[in-house]
Amino acid sequence: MLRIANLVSCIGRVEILKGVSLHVQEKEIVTLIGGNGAGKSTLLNTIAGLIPARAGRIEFMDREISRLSPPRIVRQGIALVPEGRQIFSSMSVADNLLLGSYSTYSRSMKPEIEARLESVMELFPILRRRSKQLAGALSGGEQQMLAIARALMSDPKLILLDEPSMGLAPRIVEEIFQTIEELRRRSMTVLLIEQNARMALDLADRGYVVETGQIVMEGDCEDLKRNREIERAYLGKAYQEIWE
Amino acid sequence: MPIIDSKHESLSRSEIRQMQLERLQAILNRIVRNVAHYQQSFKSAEILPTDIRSLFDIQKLPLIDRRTLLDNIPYDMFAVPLREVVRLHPSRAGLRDPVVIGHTKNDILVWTQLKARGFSAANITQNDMVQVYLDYALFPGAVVAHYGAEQLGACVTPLYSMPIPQQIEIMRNYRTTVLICTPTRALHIVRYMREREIDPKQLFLRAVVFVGESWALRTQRQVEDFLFVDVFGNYGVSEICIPGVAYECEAHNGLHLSEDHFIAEIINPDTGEVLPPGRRGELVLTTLTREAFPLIRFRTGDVTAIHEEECSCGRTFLRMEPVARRADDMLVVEGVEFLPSEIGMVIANMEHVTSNYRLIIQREGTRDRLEVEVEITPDIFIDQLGPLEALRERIEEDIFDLLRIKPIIKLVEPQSLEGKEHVVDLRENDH
Repeated sequence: MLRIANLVSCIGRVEILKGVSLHVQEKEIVTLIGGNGAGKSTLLNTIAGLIPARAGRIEFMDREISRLSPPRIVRQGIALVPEGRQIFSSMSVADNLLLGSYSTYSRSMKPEIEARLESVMELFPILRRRSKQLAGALSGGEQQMLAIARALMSDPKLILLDEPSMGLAPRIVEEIFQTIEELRRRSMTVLLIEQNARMALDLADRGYVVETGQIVMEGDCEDLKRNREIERAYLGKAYQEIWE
Repeated sequence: MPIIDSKHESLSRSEIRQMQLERLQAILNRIVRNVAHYQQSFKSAEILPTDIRSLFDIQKLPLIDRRTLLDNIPYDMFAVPLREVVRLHPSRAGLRDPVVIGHTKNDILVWTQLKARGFSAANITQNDMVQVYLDYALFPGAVVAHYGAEQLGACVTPLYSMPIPQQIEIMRNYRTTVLICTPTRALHIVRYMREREIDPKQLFLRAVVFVGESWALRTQRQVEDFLFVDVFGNYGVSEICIPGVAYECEAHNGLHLSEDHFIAEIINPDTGEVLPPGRRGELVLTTLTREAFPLIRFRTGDVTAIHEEECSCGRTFLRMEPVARRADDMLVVEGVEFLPSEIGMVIANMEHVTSNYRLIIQREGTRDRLEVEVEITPDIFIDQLGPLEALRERIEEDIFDLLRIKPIIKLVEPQSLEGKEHVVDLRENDH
């Protein structure tokens, strides 16, 4: 579905991604793990068109998209849930959701968008209860759900999730992950960045390990979890624990 | 018959290429950080992992061979610390300075899965009684073949040290349906049964899986015709995994390369130039997923050709021809791999002989016979038989210690081997 080859991307004059290749198949959940500054968010932002690709190819549904503008990429069926939620806190929850369908909005689409809104509210009942409230009044977990819901409003085929658990209490993180599970049941394709590598590897089908802008490992999550290097670097196991 | 790992075995060609590129780039990024040899060799070739932007670019990377591995024994080619290694195998058991191959937990699991994949192409299922006639001590692939068959739910009987009559007896009594063995052993069984006039219809065999050695098509036909079975070939390399690299499906149309774990190239052994599909040359393998002992562009020494045409079985992996001969000097006699120079070393350590020697290998029935001609120096060339006989026995013992094959030693007059070839392999016409 998504196929990236030799992607190079820069922030300012610093080369962040140094030739990254990866792919995501339909109905797959793929996770990227790696330390801070490895280039994970840059990768998602480059796919979404927010950062221009300096070199390389991004193909989505067999179509080259690396030169398209962000709104056109959204119309192709890719939605980004950005790091730190980035909701419009002074607008109501319902308006935030409607904005999610902005790029596809037209008068004739209205019934369909209302149906989408309905299905999103079904997925997140809490948002229905709070739909008239200001988004800024929501708790952190609710804001994250709103951010995911807003992305779903563009009816994406692929959803890019950037650190959905950031700054949330463990119990809320559980909830967010259950939501991602639910996306899987709805046959959604997900590319997920997550600091909580253990949960991400438990949830996803496949994973890539990113270090300093390069991919150093790829594999089924089951295999990655068994890799000692990953255990040590990302799953927080010390040598002793591995020995025991 | 169903494809067990259809998620990988029937990917489209473009999906396979994407996966190979990703895995190649990842392993290059990894080894440049962890393996000093690659760090240096890439540096002297003035190449960075980021220069590899397509599978075609792999040709820019330097080739390695068994010599490279020997220069780095025991652990210098390992890409992980030893504490992460769970199994060590010498690449050629019994020989001096064997290369040590390490496997992490994941490596072993992948290898076992590859084996299971290969066996399921031979339609081994839980309904099968599998007899493994491989040397569990000397042949690293035996254990993996064993667990690979078990993973498919088959009932596995490990029976190495049993002599042939008992093997056949057990085949009959246990109702063995699949025999896993080297081609040489399969021929031994065929010959034994033919000599003793044992009716193959008494057996319940339906398939024989060849592992561990190359074989001639004639051997395959002989076993098929006599035992009324399907023969499935499996291919591997002892420095990577043997078997486990390629496997034959029911179409009997060559061996499918597990391209999700390996990249295969065919080169001209003399120039190193990469040859197009269909051309015969030396097989070069790159491991894509090995954690402990990754090899980049490893010259296997095996001569084969790769074919791109689709296979009727539905698998999309490319197919290689069964290996019929080797591009380097490596000899395989009775399943034992060795270099002629290793015998030369034994002879060089002797007194009263020159450094000239000649190996003559021929097939006697189904067995290989190794004859070693050694040139003696004039100082022992006397009429006494005693010292000559003692010398002959010493050479024979030392070679037996090295190879575990009993050679026939012939002492010849001084200078009679001057300028002659070191190896005369009379078996080649068989292939």
